[in-house]
Amino acid sequence: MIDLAMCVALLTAAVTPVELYNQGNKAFAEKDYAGAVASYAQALQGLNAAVLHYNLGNAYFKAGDIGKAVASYRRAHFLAPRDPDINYNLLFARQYRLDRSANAVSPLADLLSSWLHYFSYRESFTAAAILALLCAVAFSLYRSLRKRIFAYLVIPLFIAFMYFGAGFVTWRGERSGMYAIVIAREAHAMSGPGIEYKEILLLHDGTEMQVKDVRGDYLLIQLPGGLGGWVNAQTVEFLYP
Amino acid sequence: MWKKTGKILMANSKPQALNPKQYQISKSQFFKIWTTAILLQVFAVAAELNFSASVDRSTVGLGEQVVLTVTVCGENIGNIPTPELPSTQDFTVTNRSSSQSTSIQFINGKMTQQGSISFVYYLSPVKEGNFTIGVCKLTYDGKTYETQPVAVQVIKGSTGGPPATVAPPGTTPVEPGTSLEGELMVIATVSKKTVYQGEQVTAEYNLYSRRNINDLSPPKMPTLNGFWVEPLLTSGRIVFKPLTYNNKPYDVAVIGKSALFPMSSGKLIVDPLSIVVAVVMPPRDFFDVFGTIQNVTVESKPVTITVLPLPLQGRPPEFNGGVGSFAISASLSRASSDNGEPIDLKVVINGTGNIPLIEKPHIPSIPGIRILEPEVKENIQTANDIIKGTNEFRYPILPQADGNYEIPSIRIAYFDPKSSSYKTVETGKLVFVATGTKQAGLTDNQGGLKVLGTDIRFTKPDAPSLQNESFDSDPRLWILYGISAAFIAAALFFRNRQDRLAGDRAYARRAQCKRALNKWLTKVMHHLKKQQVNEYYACLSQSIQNYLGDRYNLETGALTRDRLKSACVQQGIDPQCLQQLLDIIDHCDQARFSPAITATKDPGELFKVAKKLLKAL
Repeated sequence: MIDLAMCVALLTAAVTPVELYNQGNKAFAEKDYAGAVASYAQALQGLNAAVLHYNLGNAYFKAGDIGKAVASYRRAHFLAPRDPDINYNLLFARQYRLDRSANAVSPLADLLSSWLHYFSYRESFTAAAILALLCAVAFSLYRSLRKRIFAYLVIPLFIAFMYFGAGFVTWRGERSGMYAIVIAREAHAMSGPGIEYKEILLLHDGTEMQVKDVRGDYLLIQLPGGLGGWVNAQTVEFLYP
Repeated sequence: MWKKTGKILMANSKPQALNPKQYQISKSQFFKIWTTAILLQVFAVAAELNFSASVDRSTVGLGEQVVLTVTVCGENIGNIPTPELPSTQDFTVTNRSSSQSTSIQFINGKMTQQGSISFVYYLSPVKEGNFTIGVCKLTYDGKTYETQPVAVQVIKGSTGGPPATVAPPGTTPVEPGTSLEGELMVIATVSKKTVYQGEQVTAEYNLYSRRNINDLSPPKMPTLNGFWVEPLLTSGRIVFKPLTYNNKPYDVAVIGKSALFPMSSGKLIVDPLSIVVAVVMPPRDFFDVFGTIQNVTVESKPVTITVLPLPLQGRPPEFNGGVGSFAISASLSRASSDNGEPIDLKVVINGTGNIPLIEKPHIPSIPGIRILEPEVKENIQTANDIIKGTNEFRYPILPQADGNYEIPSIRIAYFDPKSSSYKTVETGKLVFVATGTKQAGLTDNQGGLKVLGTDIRFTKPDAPSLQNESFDSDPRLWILYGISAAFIAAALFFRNRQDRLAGDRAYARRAQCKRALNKWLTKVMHHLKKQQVNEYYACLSQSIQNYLGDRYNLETGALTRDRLKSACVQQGIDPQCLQQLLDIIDHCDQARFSPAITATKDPGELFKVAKKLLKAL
């Protein structure tokens, strides 16, 4: 396996990310999951694509790395939120985690979330910007020409703008909210930034959380339920660069 | 002291004829008595506790007993003090006991006790008449609760109601004058006089005898209200051993032994035990060679023990009622569950102490699995008079979703009376795997489809090319928002201007005066070029007047030259400039009406001056 990784490393100088992606697929089909991980990860250096993250997540999952699999699926989901395969595997990987209470949500919040996440970040932003322009034009016409028809046009345009705007704000919060995932088998959350503090939480791989502060090697994290602590930066991975 | 006065109660049909010494204990609690014969049961006013008193009957014969029950109901009444009885001289308290019923609940790790304690007093009336048992008082948690007085009628003779103590059938009363004092007695001993609530006390009843005992009836164990009782003497054999007590030789036998676990705090009474003994009386005369056999009822004295409440301070939330010394262990019946099969989680608490009073340990809810109510099995053994055993809780677990599950360590806390502190013990973590839960019973019968398992979906296929996607949005799109804002701003400005032009005449004239002037000047130029002198002067004069009128919103048509001048001066126009303009107007008028003067000034020059002056305004 190490040999194959080295081969891949040697080959990368010449191969394109797409070729690496296809190589990874081949390794995956041969059940060489470590090799597949290496290829996909190499491909990601030069190319950012939903399918790449998705296949990398599959390779991590098969290699038993639930934390990294969840992280990869989340990245894929960010780029292609309507892809049913990505959503299914994200759900599947999340079920394999030990810490599940942290992500228990109410059905109403779940529905709202899926509604806001229907369009991707870029789609939401583009649609919101175009709708804002259309809305402004319709409004200007109504103001200057005093024609009722433009007023009636403004209302649906504005509602659509609000929907896409809400989606955009939601995605943006996730993008810039410093989200991270536990990638070590176990992560110990301390009451302070250092090993000498009291251990207050034991987290397992795949647990999703938000980073609130960074002090040296330690990150102050918070779980969706509100629990939190300081974890070693080595044990977690940021979702987005 | 009680040892010395260990008393022999002769079987007697008149139980009120008790040894007066016994009354002295309860002299401070004698009742005051008066009026009517109605039974009243009234609840206390306060919401937290219900405090009431009742009697078993309202009419009692002299020589009988009436039972007064004082009941306290409420939450967390574990350490309730004994209520204070009113002092009375019309009744004597012959006996008392207490009983408790509690239901302990754990809600969010906190223990709440809902329960009731009944304090039972046996009262013997002293004389006939109508009496009232006064108000009983209870001070708890800073509040004082009171019961209503209860009326009791005391009549002569028997009411036919149940007498308080019944002499065992078949006994003959002891002849008066025969004293067995110090010869035959039952002495109750307790292992400890001061214990914590729930801590084990061993009560032992010994029969001391200096007489020949012909026969012993089985001892009647007292009810021991207020305790959870576990009998320790199981074999029916009674063995006498010689023992010296008070410098006298006795034959001593253990006739009763129980492990008691106090259920409430305060002063609790270990009820006396009575036994009927067939004693061989010494011969009274020569012919009575073997003596007579006489049945004698011997009763021990009640023993009071002080029960300390369990300290609230430092009580861990996991505390579930255990007092003693315990260990906890947990195990799973299987390590994996397929198709939603239940797994049993067995939690065993073993140790010494009040095993059956231990509540089920709290198991936190784990998403994805359902933990049902446990099946409880207890096993109690006695070893060297110490109660020990196990309490086994078997929780069936139903997996609801696939995955690896971890049951966190289960903790319980118990009170250790030896160190007077709470201790926490916990189990290790347990892990199991559940598979196929979603498919349990999800077989498509019509199509014959069978879902056998689940896995992640397979990878996306190879691609000839991939498009680079970004986690960030295109910042150039913000320009669209800028344009939108510009549109809105422009529309608002345009609308405001239109509205003002329509509504504000002065503004409209001023705004359009330059354009109007340019039109007029073009006209003047036109006339100048065509050498139409008369029209030229008229136009030039008119254009200056119109411009001034538009600029300063003046009605020029109706103005004389002087009024035009004063109006313009008011608007703050440079007077020199104004004068020149007025001069031009004058000149134009003169030229129009007296053409002779026209030669004095060149019309083209005049136009240039006028234009310059107007632009400078």
